[in-house]
Amino acid sequence: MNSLLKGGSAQHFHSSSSILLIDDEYEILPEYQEFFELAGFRTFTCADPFQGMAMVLETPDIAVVITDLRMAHLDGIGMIKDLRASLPAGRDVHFMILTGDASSELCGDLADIPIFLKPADTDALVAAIRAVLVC
Amino acid sequence: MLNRRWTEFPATWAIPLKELLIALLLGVAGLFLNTFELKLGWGMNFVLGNALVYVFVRVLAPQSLVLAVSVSSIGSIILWNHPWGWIVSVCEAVFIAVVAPRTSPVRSVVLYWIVAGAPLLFLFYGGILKMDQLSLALVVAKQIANGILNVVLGEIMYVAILSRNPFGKFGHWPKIRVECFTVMLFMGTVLIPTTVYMALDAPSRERATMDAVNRNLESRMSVADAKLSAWVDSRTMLLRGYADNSQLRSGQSDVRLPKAFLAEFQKIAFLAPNQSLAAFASAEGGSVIGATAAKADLSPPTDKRARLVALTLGQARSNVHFALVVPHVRNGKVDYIVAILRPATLHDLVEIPGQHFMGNIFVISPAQGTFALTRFASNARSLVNSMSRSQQATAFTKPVLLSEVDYGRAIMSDLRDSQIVRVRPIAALPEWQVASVLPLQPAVLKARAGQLLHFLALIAFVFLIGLLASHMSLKASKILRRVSQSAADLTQFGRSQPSSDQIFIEEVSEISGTIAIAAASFGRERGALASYQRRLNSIAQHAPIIVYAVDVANGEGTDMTYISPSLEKMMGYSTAEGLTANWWSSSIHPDDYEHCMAQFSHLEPGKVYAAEYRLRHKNGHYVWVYDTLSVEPTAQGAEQEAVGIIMDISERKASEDQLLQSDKMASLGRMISGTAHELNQPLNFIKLAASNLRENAVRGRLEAERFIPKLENVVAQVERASAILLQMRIFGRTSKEAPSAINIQSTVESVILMAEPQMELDGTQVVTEVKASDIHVWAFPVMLEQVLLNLFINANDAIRSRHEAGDSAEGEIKITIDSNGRSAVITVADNGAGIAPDVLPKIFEPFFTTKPPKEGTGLGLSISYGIIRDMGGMLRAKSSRRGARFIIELPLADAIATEAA
Repeated sequence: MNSLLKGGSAQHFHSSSSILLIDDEYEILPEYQEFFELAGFRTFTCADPFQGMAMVLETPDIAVVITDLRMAHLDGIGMIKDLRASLPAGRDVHFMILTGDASSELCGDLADIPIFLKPADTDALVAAIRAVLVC
Repeated sequence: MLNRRWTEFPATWAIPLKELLIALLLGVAGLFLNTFELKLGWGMNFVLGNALVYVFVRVLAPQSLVLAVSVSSIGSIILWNHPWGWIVSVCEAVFIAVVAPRTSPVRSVVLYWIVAGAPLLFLFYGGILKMDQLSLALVVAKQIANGILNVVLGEIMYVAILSRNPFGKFGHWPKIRVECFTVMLFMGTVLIPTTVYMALDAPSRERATMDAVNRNLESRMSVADAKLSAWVDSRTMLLRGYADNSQLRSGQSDVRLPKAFLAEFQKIAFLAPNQSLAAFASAEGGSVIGATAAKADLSPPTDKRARLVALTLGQARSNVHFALVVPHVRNGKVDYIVAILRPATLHDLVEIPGQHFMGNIFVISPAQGTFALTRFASNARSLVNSMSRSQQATAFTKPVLLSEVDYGRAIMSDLRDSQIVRVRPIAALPEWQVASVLPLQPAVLKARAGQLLHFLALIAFVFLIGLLASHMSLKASKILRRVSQSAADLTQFGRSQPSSDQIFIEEVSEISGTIAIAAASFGRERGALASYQRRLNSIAQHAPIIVYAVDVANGEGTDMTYISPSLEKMMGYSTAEGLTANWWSSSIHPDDYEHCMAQFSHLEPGKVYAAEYRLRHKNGHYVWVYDTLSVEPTAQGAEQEAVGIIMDISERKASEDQLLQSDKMASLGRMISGTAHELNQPLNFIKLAASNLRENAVRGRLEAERFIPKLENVVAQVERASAILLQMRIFGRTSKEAPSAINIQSTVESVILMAEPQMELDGTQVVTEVKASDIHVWAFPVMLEQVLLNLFINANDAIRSRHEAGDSAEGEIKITIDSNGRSAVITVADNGAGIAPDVLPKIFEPFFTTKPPKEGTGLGLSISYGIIRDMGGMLRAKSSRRGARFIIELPLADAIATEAA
């Protein structure tokens, strides 16, 4: 896979804001891409959490990161913690979790991160992203 | 030398040098002892030095024994001038060394003399030494008695040593078996008194015989002396008278003798003192026998006594004549009357007409030689001639034995050819002695015949006693063994018994004491036993267990000999029904029959066997029972008995079923949470795809190329979901399926498929290694699957707990399928946290768990263990720093099929 970055082609909700979706199930990424673009977001997708982290740091207009929890190389929570620690001051990234594990709970300073269970409630997910980007 | 233990006879072939040296010393000591002979009369002796060596027949190695005997017997070669006796002795030692450990030393020596000893002696002494039959028979009989006596004496001495209790100080001294002791006792009772009697009696008999011979000789000798002296005296007188009246001068001889002399003298001559007798003899054509006699004969006489001179006349040198030379004073001058005797004169004189005398009479002059006066003296003469001076001197006072054959000091056979001689001076003839000689043969033959009878009777008696003793010793030892066994049982109630082989002669003396103690304790024990029995009966009747006893032969139970009355309460059958043949085997549930029979085959003493199976109640339903039996440890080969109990475990089985179910539910819960996550993935996919399709449709973008890949994705994801659901099917099944031969590999694979979602989530690698492919075990498929699943989940949990502890190395579960010929061996190894050593022994206990509450009931491993055990297999756990390893062993289906066949 040459490029994990796929620039959005449809109209954007916020010309400056993009979202990044990280899920290690590679086959599903095009559907996510299509879905979020149909919803009007400029969307990047990525199957590797490490690469996802690099993308967030390199691309300042990524404002929302939606990630799976159980992934082969890096746990979603670990990734969020690392990203939060390494983001420059003033950079505001919103995190959302999309997982198939119903038992997932977050605690401490991660407790504010919204969790969406697979199969995703698409309307709620789009509404949550919109709410974040509008603010 | 003496460090061997627990075998009565040494068996090893490697002998330390020290022992060989000791054997050599023993041999030398035996050789020394052999020089002390026990005289049995007429040259027959017992030598008993070998007995010293045979004392150590149990202590020495075979080679050492043979070495010692060959040294101690070496004296016989010197003694008898031939090696045959020695060879027979060494053969005897070899035979005893080899055979004695199997029977007893005494029995083996008796056997040796029958089988080899006697034939060898006949061959050597009869065939090679050409001994006459009588002596041969006697020698053989004597050697047999001597040989057996040596071993018996050795045994007696050994018992004496044992009674001094040398154990410990000089290593191990094997005890004597009762049989050996009895045989030895019998033989000793026969042989020793007989030998002692012979030793006391035979020499005195020999002496008596010799005395009789001596008296005979003496009387002959005296008679001969008296007759000769009287004759010489009377003839001297007569010759002097004749000379007084004779006209003959010195130097003249007269052949025309008066009638009175004619019968006795053939010629009378007168010789002057200056004339020599030799000249006279040569003038007669002969010579005087004995140079000194010829020279000195006519020197002036110191007394006036007549002399007897032997001379030959004519050419025939054997034609010995005697001449009576009488000094005579005629006309104041001394001259000599020489009267030549007729050949038969002296002979007729000593011959007693009408009396048969076997012996011979000789006259002996040191200067002139020995001359027979009797007719049949030719073979005796050489003996008398060769008599040494000292023998001759001895013969004056007592009989002397003269023999030409020399067998060294063993005069067993040469006695017959020997002569016995007495000598006394002749009163009237100072130069001459008379010797009376008698062949010993008649006396010896008589004595030999008596001895032979004696010995034959003894040998016959020994063999008879040997047989009788063997027979009785076997019986006695059997009885003693039984008595001492029961005595020991009574005194050492409950303690381990010494094996019956260890009942030795000590017990013979101790046994009366033991029996006394036993009798005292018997009453006590009987009281205790009675109350014990009452308690047992009470238990047997009221406890929910059945007690039974069954005979065991060749490792298999045969007849049930006892079954407790509780059988009726528990199973509905009466004890009589329970004791009928095949009741038990025909009442086992057909499904349990195989494993039950497998469990109770190859019964060994001292071991405990157990099985759980269903037994048919008389009403027809089956009752789950736990049956355990132990085989009583008894002596090898004896009949064995197994005692067992049967317990009703229906309730436990029922609760076990429930626990099995509850554990299954716990596993199910965990499977569901894992599976749900997995199931959410395709659902999520489908939902997104469907949502995108809907959005595209809403926007009127209905191109087929956009729709078809999405729809295909949806179909694929539905298949993925249904595959996941399909794997959960086993939890819907019941465990009532019949066992079947199932392929281990495919079972493992299907379980891996079930567990994989969970494993993948945790990043655990599952590796399967098949070392033995296509192996089948006889099992309940669902149960085996559950056990495997349980082990996989445990392994994965262990990896997770290691990850939680901070070690992020990749988890791996390795499953190995192998076979050891009889069983399939499935190993589930993980590289997880491992099992702590203090926990390891407890992991199969019910309700033991290391997991947090709600995650496991703690029954997984104990139920897995039970399942595997019920299938006739085994579940074991091992742990190391690299992780835990669970090993399942299950009998191969074809192995079971073969056994059943």
